[in-house]
Amino acid sequence: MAGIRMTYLTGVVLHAIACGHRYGFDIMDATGIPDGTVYPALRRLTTAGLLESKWEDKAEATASQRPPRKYYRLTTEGRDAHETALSRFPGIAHTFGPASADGAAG
Amino acid sequence: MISRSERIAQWIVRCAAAIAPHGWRAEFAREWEAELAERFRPDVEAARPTGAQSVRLIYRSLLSVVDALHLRAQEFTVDSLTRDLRFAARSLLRRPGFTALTVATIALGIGANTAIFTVVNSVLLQPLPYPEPDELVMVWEQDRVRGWERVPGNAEDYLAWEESAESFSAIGGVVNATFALTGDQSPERIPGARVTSSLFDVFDVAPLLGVPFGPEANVAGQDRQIVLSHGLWERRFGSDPAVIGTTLDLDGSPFEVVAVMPESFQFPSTAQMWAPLVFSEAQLQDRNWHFLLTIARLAPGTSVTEAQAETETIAARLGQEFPESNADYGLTVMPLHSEMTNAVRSMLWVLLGAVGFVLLIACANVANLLLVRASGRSRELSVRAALGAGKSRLIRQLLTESLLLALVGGVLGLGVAFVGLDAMLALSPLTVPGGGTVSIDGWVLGATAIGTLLTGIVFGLAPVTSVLRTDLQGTLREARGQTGGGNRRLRSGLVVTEIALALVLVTGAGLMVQSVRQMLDVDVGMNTGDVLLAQFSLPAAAYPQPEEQVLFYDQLIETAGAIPGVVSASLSTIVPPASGGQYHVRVEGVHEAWTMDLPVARTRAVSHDYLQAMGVPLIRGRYLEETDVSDAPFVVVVDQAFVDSHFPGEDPIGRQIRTLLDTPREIVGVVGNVTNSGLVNQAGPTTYFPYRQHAFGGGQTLLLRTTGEPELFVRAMQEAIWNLDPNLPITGVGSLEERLADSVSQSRFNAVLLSLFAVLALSLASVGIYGVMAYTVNERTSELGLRMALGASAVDVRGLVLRQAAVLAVGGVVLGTLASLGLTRVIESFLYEVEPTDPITISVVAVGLCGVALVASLVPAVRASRLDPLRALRE
Repeated sequence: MAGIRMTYLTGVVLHAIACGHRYGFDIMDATGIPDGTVYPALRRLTTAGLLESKWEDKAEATASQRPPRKYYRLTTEGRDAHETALSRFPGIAHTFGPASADGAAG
Repeated sequence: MISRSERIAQWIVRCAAAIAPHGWRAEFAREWEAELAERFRPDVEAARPTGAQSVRLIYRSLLSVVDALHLRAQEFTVDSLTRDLRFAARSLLRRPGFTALTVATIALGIGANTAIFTVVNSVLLQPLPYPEPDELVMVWEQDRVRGWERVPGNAEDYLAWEESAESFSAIGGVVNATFALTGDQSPERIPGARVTSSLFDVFDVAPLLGVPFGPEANVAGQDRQIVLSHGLWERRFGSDPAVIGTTLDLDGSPFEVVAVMPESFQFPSTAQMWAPLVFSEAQLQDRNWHFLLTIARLAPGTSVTEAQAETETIAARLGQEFPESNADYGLTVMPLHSEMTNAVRSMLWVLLGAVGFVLLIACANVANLLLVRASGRSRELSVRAALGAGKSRLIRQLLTESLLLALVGGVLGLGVAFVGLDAMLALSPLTVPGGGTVSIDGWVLGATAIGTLLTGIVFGLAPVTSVLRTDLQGTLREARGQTGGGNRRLRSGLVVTEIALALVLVTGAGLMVQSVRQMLDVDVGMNTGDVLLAQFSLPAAAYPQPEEQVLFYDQLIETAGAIPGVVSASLSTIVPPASGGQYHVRVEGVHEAWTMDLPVARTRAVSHDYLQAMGVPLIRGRYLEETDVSDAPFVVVVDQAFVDSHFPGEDPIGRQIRTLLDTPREIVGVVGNVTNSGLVNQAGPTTYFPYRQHAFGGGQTLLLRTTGEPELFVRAMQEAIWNLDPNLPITGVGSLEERLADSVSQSRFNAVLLSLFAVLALSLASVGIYGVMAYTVNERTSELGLRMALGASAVDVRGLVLRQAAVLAVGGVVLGTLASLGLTRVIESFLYEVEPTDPITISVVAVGLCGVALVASLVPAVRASRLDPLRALRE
């Protein structure tokens, strides 16, 4: 957890990604986190090494008739941090369900 | 199809991307555009988006701005800041001359501002050191007929206010007094006050020791109690707590010490002890006897305006009840803090304004230096841009440099402020209301920090705008960095502004200096050289009879006059520049009865030879003589001003006037006018009569005319007095010239400070002119070389450069003259016999400033004329 303070907000973002919500607006919609804080949280978590990001394959996106998405996923440290978050804020586990098939892909 | 709302959203994302850091920009835009497209395109394809959808789309796109700002903030990590700072420091150290000049300029600007702001803060902005200081007010009577705003109250009116005013939770009265403290140590005259016991309630300050006297002490016979100030207790009683309950010998009577007040209690500002005030029968019966300073505390929640309204109704009621004395009097309620700082307030704001000008000039100068440097660096900046640094990166670097300069300058400026403040306080008669000290506190530090930061940003912006305008790629292609005409115009504009600001300051300072010179040149009307003064006051308890006082004065004049080296010894109740001693005068045959409308005259009881000894010229009749004693006919000598007001065109000799005690006196002589109320006030009608025909028990001044330095005779004079009465306190010892000079010390202090700022402004402005001209010559090297190759002589080239400087100088002088015509009015009230638009001062300053500007550009001009045309062309 390099340089990141585990807050409820951080925990919720990590949990959303663990559940398969993997890009900005999806996470925003799933968590219902106040607008304007999700992106900074994603940037912070990426800089801290808890998340990594990857651009969607172009062919895949074109097939779905949209621009490629930027996907976020937990790193090993990210998964540890997710565990910590769940033990500290057990309520997080019940805030939202798993992502749809579309979001869970990749 | 892309809907309009989506187009707006895309535009917002693009703007946000511009805010995002350089390296992030492409990725940032791609991610956000994908998100927006993903979320909204499908709906849009189905139909045009609904209003709600459009709003939501635009709202979501606005979040990209938050994201961009966050990324931008992340960039400013401690690491990157350290890197920037280190880079800035290295880059500044490569040019030590430039850096030292810039830092010194900022340090002087910030230092001068911090020092003056410290004074303004301590004197004007800090609240008085009492609980709820805003509730403290002074209550003045207002003489509507004569237009006097601040007349002290009379005893009966005070009692009426105390009884009926509901706006005040407490009200107290004060009369200044001095006490002769005698006893074990050397006798001393101590400034103090007679006060009503309620004064301590008004200020609501707990005593340090003991309990101040209560209302029972404000009664004749019960008033032998005294409260000591913290300062007196420390100095005279060695901070001994056992002083409470002891008895002091004051004016020959025993007073019991009942309390010691804390350091913060300082009212009136010079008072060191407070005794109970007892209204005399005469005071209680005479509503025309205005002597009482009144201080009150507003009732909680009452405003000054409300209190003013209530006191006005009280004044109106008193006016109806006592029309003879009160009909023409109103009441004024003034906040105590502003009353205590009235004398210095406007001058301090003027000084703060002046020093603000100095800071502006310093900023303009530094901006100029940075501009010159930025143009010199345009190649360096272009290379860095070519290597991938964005404009924002370069701007950040430039701002870091200027902020670093400002920071170092600010810290040094704080040092300048400490030193300057010490020097200023050593020179200045400033006092802080409530007895505090002038010191640099958190407020001052905060203001300095903000000032420094603003300075850094303000002058840092100049090179930044220049970078923004420069085509960096284009510069790289050129052999030599050239800057556009806009940059040159900006620099010229800055120099013109500097000259204009400096001119305003120099004009202001010139007016003040001239004003002080006029004050010192005032003809006092007497020979003031080599005169030693000492004041004393015979206590009524020890010298109850006038005969005893006269005997003491006679003996003192005899013994003091016998001191070897003393030419003459004389006495006067009041000596210039002191004022006071005004009494009503009745001229026989003109004024039939005693009324309040009688004219007043300054009245001095003197030794018979005082006027001769002081060299006051005799105009008509005779001086006072040794034979004018108590059983001889009563005589008086008047001055020319008295004759002019009461006997215009007549011979006053032999006429009778009545003044003190209603004794008729015959005018036997007319002497020249003596300025008797500060140096700057006109002489008013004055009368002199021999003390042998009416001895005052009050203050007397002994004057010794000496052969040589008056100060050498201090000891002998003290011995002469103490040989006659070892318990008599002596004050105000010093030469007459010193005292006259002291009376203009506040004006001199202001003039010295303003001159200092003006000199600072002038030096900074000349550095600015020099910098710009030197740079211009450098920039035009090839052109000048070409001109010389084509036959222009050295004189031509010098003329060319000087003409350019002259244009700037004249521009600044014209602008500055216009500004000073408006701004010097601010100091009008501080000027004595000098017009704020004094044409001589303004033209001398204007010509002088042009001269300074030309001298400053002489070096670059000469350098230009010595150019080697061949080398200049090759460059």
